Amino acid sequence: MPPRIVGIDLGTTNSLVAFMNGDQPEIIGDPDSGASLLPSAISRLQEGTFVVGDVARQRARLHPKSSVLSVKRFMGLGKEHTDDDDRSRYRFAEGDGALRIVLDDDPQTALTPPEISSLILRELRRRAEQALGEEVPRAVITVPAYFNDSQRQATRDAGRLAGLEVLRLVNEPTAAALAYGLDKQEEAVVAVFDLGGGTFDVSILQLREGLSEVLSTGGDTRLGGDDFDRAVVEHFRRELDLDGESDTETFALLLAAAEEAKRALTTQDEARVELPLPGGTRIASITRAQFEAATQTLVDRTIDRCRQALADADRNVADVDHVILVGGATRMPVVRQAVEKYFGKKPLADIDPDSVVALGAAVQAGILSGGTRDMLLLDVVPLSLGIETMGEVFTRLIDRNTTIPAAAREQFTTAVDNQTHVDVHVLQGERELAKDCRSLARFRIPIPPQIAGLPRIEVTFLIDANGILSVSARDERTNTEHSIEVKPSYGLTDDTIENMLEESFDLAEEDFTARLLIEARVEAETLLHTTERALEGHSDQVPAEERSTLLESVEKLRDACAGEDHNVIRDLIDVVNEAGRPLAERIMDDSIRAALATRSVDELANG
Amino acid sequence: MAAAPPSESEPQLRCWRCKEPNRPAFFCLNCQAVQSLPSDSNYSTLLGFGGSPNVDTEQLQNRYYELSRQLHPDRFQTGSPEEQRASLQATALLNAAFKTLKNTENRGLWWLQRSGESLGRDNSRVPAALAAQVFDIQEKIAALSGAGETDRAELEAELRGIQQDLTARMNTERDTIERLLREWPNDASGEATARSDLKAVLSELSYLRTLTRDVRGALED
Repeated sequence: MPPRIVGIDLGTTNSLVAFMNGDQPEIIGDPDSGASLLPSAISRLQEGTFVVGDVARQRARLHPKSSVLSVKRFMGLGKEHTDDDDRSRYRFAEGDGALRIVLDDDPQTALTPPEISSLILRELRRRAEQALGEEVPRAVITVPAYFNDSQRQATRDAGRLAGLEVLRLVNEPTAAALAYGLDKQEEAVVAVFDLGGGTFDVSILQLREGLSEVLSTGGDTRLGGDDFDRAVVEHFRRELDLDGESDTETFALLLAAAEEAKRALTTQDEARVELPLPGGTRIASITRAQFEAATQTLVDRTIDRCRQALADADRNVADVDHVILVGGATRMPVVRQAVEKYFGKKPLADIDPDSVVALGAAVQAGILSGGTRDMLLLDVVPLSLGIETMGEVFTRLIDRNTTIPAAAREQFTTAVDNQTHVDVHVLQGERELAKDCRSLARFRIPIPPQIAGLPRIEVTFLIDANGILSVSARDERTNTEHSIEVKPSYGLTDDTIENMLEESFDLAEEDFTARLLIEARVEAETLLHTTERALEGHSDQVPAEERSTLLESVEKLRDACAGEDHNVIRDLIDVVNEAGRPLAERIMDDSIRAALATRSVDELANG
Repeated sequence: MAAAPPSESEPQLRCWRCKEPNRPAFFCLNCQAVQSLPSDSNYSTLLGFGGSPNVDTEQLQNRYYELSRQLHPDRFQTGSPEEQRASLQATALLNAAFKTLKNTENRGLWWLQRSGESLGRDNSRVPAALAAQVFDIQEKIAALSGAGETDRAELEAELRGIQQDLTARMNTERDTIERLLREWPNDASGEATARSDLKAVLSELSYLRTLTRDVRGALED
C-alpha cells in the first residue's frame, strides 16, 4: 500500500492534521496531550532551537521578539505589504523580494514566512507519523480561497521545507464543504462562511451528485478573529486609560487578555480579565453589548462580502440552501446572529468549526489516493490574472472565478527593430492599473533580432488544479519553444529552498524529554514573571511572613529552571501557585470593587 | 483495430501514447489515453454537439460534469507525467469550452469568430437602430446631475423605466442569438445572411450593456 496522504489545515491561529480512517476523516491529535489544535506559533529559545505550538504561544507573551504568531498573514508577501501594526510587532529584514522576519533583533536569524510555517508543518507531520506509526511524506494542504499565486507558492514551499510533497492545495471553504459530505445525492447551493483568525472567506458552491463546483469566492485577507481581539484591545485601552502607543510587551498582554475575554463572551454576558501590567495588575472588563458595538463594522464587512460573492455567483440570498460555518471566530454569537439574519436560515455547525477544514483536506487526500472515486472538486481561481501592457495598464487574461485548471494565450511582438527580448510582467488583481495589482513574476523571452512587429511569440499561462501559475512560450514562426525563467516577485527560488533544506533548524519537540523540560520552563517563567509583577505592584498588601514564603518558593523555582528535571520544576510551580494564592485573591477582589465603584458613579451620572 | 483517419479539414492529430492518428477528442479512439488538444479545437465538437453552434444548455451541463469526472487532474494523480500533463491541458480546454458555450452571448461571439468575423474595432459606434434612444437617454442622464429635487425624482423614475426596457430588450436579443445559432443554415448564401444578422445583434447587445451600466451608474450617484 502506498504511504498515506494526510490533510493539513495550516491556519493563521491554529493548525491541524487529519487522515482518512476507513471512509471517515479523523483529526490526529498530539500523541502526548491529545490536543487536536496546534497553535500556529513558533518561538526561538536562547540556544537557537525552536519550539512550536502551545508552548511557543505562551512564550510569546514574555519573549515577543523571539516569537512569531499568525505568520500566515505574511505568506507570499513583500515588505511593502506590511502595515503599521505589523511593523510595531515585528522587525523585518532589509531588502527586496520575499519578506524576512528578524528574531531577537539579530538580523542573522531572519526567517522567511515559509520557513516559519515549515516548523509548524514539521510538528504536524511528527504528530501524524507517531500516531499512524508510518512515514508521512505526502499531504494536501488548505489555503484561503482568496490566496493569490505567490501565497499559494509560499505554502507549497513551506511543505517542501518540512519534507512534505504537497499533492494539492485546496481552498479552505471547499474543503469544508467536502467535510460535510458531497456524496449525498442532493442538489444544493451552499454558502461557506469562514471567519478564521486572520482571514475571512466566503464561497458560494453548487453541489450535485458528488461534484462540488465553486461558483464564486470572495473575502478579505485582512479580516479575522484577530481583528475582533484588536477591537477589544482598543476597548480595554480606553477603559484603563492606556493612552498612546503600548510597548510590544504590553500590547501582547492586552491581546492575550482580549482573546480570553472574547472567548468568555461566547457563553457569558460579561467578561473580566487580569492584566499583569508593569504598573501592577489591573482588571479589564467588557460586556456583550460593548463587544457588539466595538465589532459592528467588522461584522458588517463580512456581510458585505457575502453580498458580493452571491452577486458574482449570479445567485440570490433565497437560492442558498445551506450555510456552513468555518473557523473558531464563527463561535461568536454576534457573528452567528448576523449570518443567520442575512441568509434567513440557521447556519450548519454540526462539525466543529475548528476541525472542519482539516477533515475536508483529509477527504481530498482520500480522493487523490484513489479511495473515493465518486467525488470531484471543481475549484476556481480567486483573482483575475493578467499582464502589464502599454501605459501601465493591467490586461486580464483569466477572469476571477474561472474554473481551474485554466489556460490563456497571448501573442507578443516587438516595438523596436532588432530587439533581442520581450519583457513580460505578470500580475494578479481586480484593479485597472498595474501598480494597484499584485506583482507575481517577471520574465524575459529571448528572440532573434528582427524588424519591429515581425516576431510572433505566443505565451501560454496555465493555472493548474492548485491555482498555481506556470508559463510557457513558443515562437509562432519557427515553431520553437522558448524556455522562460520566471522570477517570482515575493517567492523563493528553487536554489534558495535547497539551501534552506540543508541548513534546516532543530525542533525541540522532536525529543520528547527535551520537550517536557521546555514546556515546564516556559510555564515557570510565565509564573515567575506574573508573581514578581504582583509583588511589586501590591507590596503594601502582603504581610511580611507571606512575602518571605513566596520569595523563597520563587527562588527555588528559579534554581530548578536552571536544572534539567521537568518533574522538579512542575512540583515547584505548584508550590509557587499555592504560596501566591492569597495575594492573587486580594488583587482580584480589589479590582472588582474598583470596577464596581466606577460603574455606579457612571450609572448615577447617566441616570 | 486502428481508428478511421480524420477527414481532410481537420488537423492531423496523433495520440501521444499509441501514436495512432486521431480525431479531435479528449480520449484516443485507439488506446483511450487522455489527449492534449490544440487550443483552437471546436468546442462544440469536443462536447458532443457535432461542431454546430446549436447547443442545449442542460445537455451541455451534463456532458461537462461527465467529462470533468473523466479528465480532471485529480484522476491522474498516480499517472505518468505525460498523462498528468495531458489531463491538465485537456481540463483547461474543457473549462474554456464550457464557459464559452453555456452563455448565449459568449457562444455567439465564439461562433462569429469561427466563421471568420469579429465585432472589430468599430464596435463602440452607436448601432443605427439605437441612435435615437441613446440620444434621449444621454440627455436624461446629463439632466439628472443638474436637476432640482422634484425634477430629480421624476427623471429617476423615467430612468428606472428605461433600465427595465433595456433589460427586457437585452433578453429579447439573447433569444434572437439563440434562435440564429439553433437554425444556422447550411448553404453559403443563407450563412452569409445569418452571419451578418448575428454580428448586428451581438453588436447591439454589447452596446446595450454599456448603456445599462451608464444608467445604473447615474442612478447610483
